[in-house]
Amino acid sequence: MNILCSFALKQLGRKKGRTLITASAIALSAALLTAVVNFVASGRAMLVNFLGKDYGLYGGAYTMLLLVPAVFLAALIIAMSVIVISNAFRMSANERIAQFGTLKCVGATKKQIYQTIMYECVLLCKAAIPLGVLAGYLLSFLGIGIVNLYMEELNVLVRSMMRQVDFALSFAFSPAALLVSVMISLGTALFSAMLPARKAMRITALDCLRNDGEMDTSGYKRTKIAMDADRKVEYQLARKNVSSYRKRMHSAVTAFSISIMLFITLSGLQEIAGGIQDYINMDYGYPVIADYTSNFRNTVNPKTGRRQQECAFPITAETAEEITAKFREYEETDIYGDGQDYTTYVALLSEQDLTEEMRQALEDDDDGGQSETILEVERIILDDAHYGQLCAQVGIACGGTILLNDYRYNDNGTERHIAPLSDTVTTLQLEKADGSRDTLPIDGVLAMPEIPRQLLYPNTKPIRLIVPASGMSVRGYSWMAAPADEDGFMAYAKDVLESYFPQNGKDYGEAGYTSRVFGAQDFTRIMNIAIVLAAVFLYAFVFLLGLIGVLNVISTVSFQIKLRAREFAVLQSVGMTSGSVRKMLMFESVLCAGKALVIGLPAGMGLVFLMARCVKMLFPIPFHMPWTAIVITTGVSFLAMWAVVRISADVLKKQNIIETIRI
Amino acid sequence: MEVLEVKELTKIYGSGDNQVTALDHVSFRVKKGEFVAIVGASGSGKSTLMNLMGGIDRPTSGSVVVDGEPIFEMSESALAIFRRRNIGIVYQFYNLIPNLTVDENIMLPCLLDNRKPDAQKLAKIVEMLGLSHRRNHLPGELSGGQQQRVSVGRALINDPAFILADEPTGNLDSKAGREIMEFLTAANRKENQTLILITHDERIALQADRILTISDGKIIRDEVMRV
Repeated sequence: MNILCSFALKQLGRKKGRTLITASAIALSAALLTAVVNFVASGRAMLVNFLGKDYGLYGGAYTMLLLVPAVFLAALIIAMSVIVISNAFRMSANERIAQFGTLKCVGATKKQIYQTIMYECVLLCKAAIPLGVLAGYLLSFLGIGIVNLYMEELNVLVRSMMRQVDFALSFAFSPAALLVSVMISLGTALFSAMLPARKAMRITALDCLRNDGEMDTSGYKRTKIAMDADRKVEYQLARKNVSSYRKRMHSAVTAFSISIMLFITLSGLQEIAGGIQDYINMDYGYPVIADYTSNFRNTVNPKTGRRQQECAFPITAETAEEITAKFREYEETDIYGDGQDYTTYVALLSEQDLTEEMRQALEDDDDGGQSETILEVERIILDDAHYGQLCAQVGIACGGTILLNDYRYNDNGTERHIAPLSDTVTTLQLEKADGSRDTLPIDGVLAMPEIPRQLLYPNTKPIRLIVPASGMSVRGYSWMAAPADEDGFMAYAKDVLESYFPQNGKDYGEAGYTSRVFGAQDFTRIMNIAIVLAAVFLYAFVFLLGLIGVLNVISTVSFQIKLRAREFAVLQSVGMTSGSVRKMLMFESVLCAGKALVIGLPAGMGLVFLMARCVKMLFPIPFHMPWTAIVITTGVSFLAMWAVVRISADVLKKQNIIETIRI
Repeated sequence: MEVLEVKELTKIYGSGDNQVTALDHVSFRVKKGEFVAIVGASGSGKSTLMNLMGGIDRPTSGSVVVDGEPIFEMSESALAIFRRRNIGIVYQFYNLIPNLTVDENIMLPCLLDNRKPDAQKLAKIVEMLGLSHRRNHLPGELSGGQQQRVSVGRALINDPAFILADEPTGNLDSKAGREIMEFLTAANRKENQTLILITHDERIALQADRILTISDGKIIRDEVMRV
């Protein structure tokens, strides 16, 4: 065996604890990288199966959907691994600095010194990477198993709401993916070892011999912390040590900070997802929804340049009413039918027509200089029974138009309800995309909280009118039902819709329209499954990545304690009790954990805040900082650092002061 | 008045065939203000004796009494506290804390006691040791001689019952070695500081009031050089 390789092997054998920790870090890194690459391969196989070889129309978007998270996760793993593995090799090089000096004195070249460390890395990689790759495949296998536990439920839900899908993530073994995993893992480990190896080879023989145990020859950094008798000496020494040894502890603190930041970010993300889930939860008191939607095409009117919509198969109010009646025939089920037309009209309004609140809400969008305000109009038709009830509630005769004088909008994440039109408005000037105008009298007004909750769905327009259904055609219509036998009603409703809108086995939208029957909670359930899956995977990822960080902390702290053995012995020889030494180390652990928290917590909280701000632009959801996660993270960080120091400090018990001082 | 009494001190390392008797029933007394040199060949047991007198090792049998206190009857913590208040130790390799300044290293035994050292006394020691211009320096920024002077300062700060110096000049050039001996002897003569010095350098030993020669773990000679 090559003498350099033999040195490397001996070093690995001599420092079994650290060898194990470094090998574990390399294996964990390889496992995570393999899992990510394998997930991409399996996801690709699923998409090819579902969408065809190039993923169809939105191929680019799907490719990005697979690659962007994978690249982001891989970058995180590589960054963490480089910090941790590089630190382990730096410690190993530090320990052998005197050996390097001797080698240099007897004629070893810089390259040979470099190779000694690189051999150590190669030997570790030979054992750790295959194990890591195997563990990675096991992780993928488990992960895919977990996904498939939910996949069938997801398929059933999507089938009922959209199209005939059969998503199944299967374990895909790809030699190319295996090669990529091994290459990235090997590259990461070699690059990590290269950094301290290059540093070690540059130190002169004399410096190697002078600096027993520290590759950094710049010496101890002066700190501004002055010692006095007013505070506990253990605390003061700990503060001084943490400050002096900050460079040595840098990688441990950084790795710890990254783990903290990721955990907080993830917890925040989960809170945000929960908020979105609550917001889209359609709880109108009707557990079953049947709907019909025609395909449409948005065009621009050539005369006015305004956007207009062309519906392929709009549904007439008469047909909708017939279906409503049929649905009611099923065990006298309560049905609430409503259809919307969002695109036919806009309303032309003067400043006096708008309330002060509405003018303020529109201020941001106002381009100024226009005497008229143009607002989108939503015309709503209801089934005859509920329309009649609403007319009676307002106190008008059937056949009149009711203004729902409520505009719901997202005010930087807060849902606001305001009355858009002032009390003086009795007629509305409406204009179509082709420029033709109609005048519509308003017969009655409903404001919050008189508006039925069935009409408080998301994405409403500023001007909302309940109009008589007679003669109307709309793009879509939905029937909310509260049947006693939900499953029976759903089967019955499907048959009814199929008889009016035959799909003939065609898939979502292929017939020019879509009709479906689904549970009102199905959207929430799909969202919930997605959140659970994402949470399981991301928490597992952060946990494993955090484990790499903790391995680094263990390795660094135990190394530092051994390296400082003489310092502790001197302190004891001048009268510091061993209890005080341990107390000093405890203070150091608290300060180090505090340092990691000072970096990791604000970074994580900042990311959560930024994500929440972005999401709040789309959804009016309440924002809560994940305080529980922050408290847990803070506690666990102090506890983990304390435990590592406590265990590492146990070696001091066996330390003989006399022998240590003599070293 | 005696500040140190060593009674029948025995230290045996190892067991069975590997048993080595480093100290064999050693007894002697040291009076207040006395300067005692302990000489002996390498492996004679002088460092073991020093470690036992300093309370950083425990004997197989026998006792060490400092200022009337039998130190090995104390718990480990109590002994550590006793050591920082009553025994000053100077090592051959200085053994300073690398990230503490000169002042802080000297003050360390006081700080460990949560006591503020007398500023005047500290200034006096620093000045006596010729370190006034280096008070805020770290050990790494000092020469070997200067580091050893800091070590002497640390030993003196608490007015200990005695100072134990283990080859204090062994790692220094002759000029720096001479300076260190001048500081130690000055402390002994001017401040009546008891000094126990371990050396193999005969010239240094001859400066002492009394020389104890140790060989194979036994005191074979106890010579009084001056009264």
